[in-house]
Amino acid sequence: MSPAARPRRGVLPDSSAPFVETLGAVPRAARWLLPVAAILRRGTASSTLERRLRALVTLRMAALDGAGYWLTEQLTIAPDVGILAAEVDAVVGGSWPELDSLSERERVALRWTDGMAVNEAKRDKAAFADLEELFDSAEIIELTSLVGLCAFLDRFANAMQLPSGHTGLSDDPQVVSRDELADWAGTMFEQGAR
Amino acid sequence: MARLPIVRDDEATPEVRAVYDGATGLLAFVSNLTRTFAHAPELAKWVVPMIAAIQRGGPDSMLDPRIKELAIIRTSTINDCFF
Repeated sequence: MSPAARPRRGVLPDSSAPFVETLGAVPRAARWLLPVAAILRRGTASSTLERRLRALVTLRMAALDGAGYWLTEQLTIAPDVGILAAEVDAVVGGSWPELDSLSERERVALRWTDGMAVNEAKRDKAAFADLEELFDSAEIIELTSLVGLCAFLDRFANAMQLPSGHTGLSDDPQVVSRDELADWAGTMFEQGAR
Repeated sequence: MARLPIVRDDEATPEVRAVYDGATGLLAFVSNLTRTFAHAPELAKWVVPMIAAIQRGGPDSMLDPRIKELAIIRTSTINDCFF
């Protein structure tokens, strides 16, 4: 792995994990993709999407995509972000609409996730109307990006047959700071993907 | 019709302006995708170079641009995405 693709342990993705090591073969892409993954999964200081909501969406996508690599990680993380065992079962199994414990934002986010997973979100006017009701435009972009990122990560892990276990993208309780990102990727647009 | 309005040049904050300048440097134009991501500028400034790094070629890109383009076209077709 080149120095550009080597993250600091415990801050951004752990370089010893199969996903980061595999992606590290292409540092040009990893330099940008890993910070995006960290931002979307952990949020930044300006993010207002709840950690629990992020984890629910990530868990749901991993289940829908049959991505054992990320599913294993999310099952480990779930208790730390307040997702109960019964909620895990319902989200993984698809009976989440029957849960009483979900917030309205979580419910709408999961509906959006299910729609995106089968590429039907673009036709679901009601789902987007609900989204607009409860999320501002920045949150909609962030949530939609998170679901899209999950789809990418799931397919990448499945296609590359990454071994389940330590993924390296754990949900650190701290948000991603600007300094961390700058340290990770170098100066934006100046040293980047040229 | 787009579900979220794109952020036009005359609406761009300095932070969004920096993203647009970066996108122009990387991709030679500011796409409507970038203008939509501009609603979340802190995300946009990382996503835009990420897309450029993965989709576009470069001095350290090992993949034939033709293969990249074939993969892009095929994926977009399967996903019913005409953007």
